[in-house]
Amino acid sequence: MSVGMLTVTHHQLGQQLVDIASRIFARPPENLACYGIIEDCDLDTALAELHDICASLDCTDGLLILSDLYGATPYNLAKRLMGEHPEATLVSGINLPMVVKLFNLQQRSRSQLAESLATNGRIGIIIEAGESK
Amino acid sequence: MIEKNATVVNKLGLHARAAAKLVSEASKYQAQMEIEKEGKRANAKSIMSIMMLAATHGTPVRLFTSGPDEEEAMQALIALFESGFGEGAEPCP
Repeated sequence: MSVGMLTVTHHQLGQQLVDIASRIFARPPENLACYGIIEDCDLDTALAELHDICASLDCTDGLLILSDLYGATPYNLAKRLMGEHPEATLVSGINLPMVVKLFNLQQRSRSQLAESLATNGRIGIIIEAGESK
Repeated sequence: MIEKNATVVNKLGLHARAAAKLVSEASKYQAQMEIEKEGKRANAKSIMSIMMLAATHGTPVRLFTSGPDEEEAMQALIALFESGFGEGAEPCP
């Protein structure tokens, strides 16, 4: 399976998360690119740049896009990108547990990868109250 | 199936880099490999499963391997725990 991975986030959030996961695993990610959106950027230019980035990835078995805040500009841009990439799946709510899992994925289909990332993103959120009331 | 006891001996415990190392090593084997802490079992080939154990320095664990290469898999797990995941052993409290 060769699924291209792309983070589309506010600023360098995606890149920073990938950098941290790279340090944890002591290796760079494979077939993954990061794109950060800054305020007031031209969305058509951003979309064109994203198309170029996608062309540099091996998306033989699809494209998996990770964005941060559902409904925000990076998410909206990712949705526009999907309009021209029907082989893409979008997972929003990127966090470190999700990105760490990216480095520890078994060979799976695009939909299974998306499910696995979403599941791991959720199970990494734990609430623990202190002893004081 | 093989079962053995081990202890987390490195100062930082089963932290992210140690867990990543464990996963990388475990993924070399066909056997099913699990780590149990206080009744909670984790898949040794899944980084988030291991992280959810939150196993700190001095934590006793039970190791399980099952499959065609379970002996080698268990030896590899034991070696990793004894070496503190390559970070050295600190006296446990």
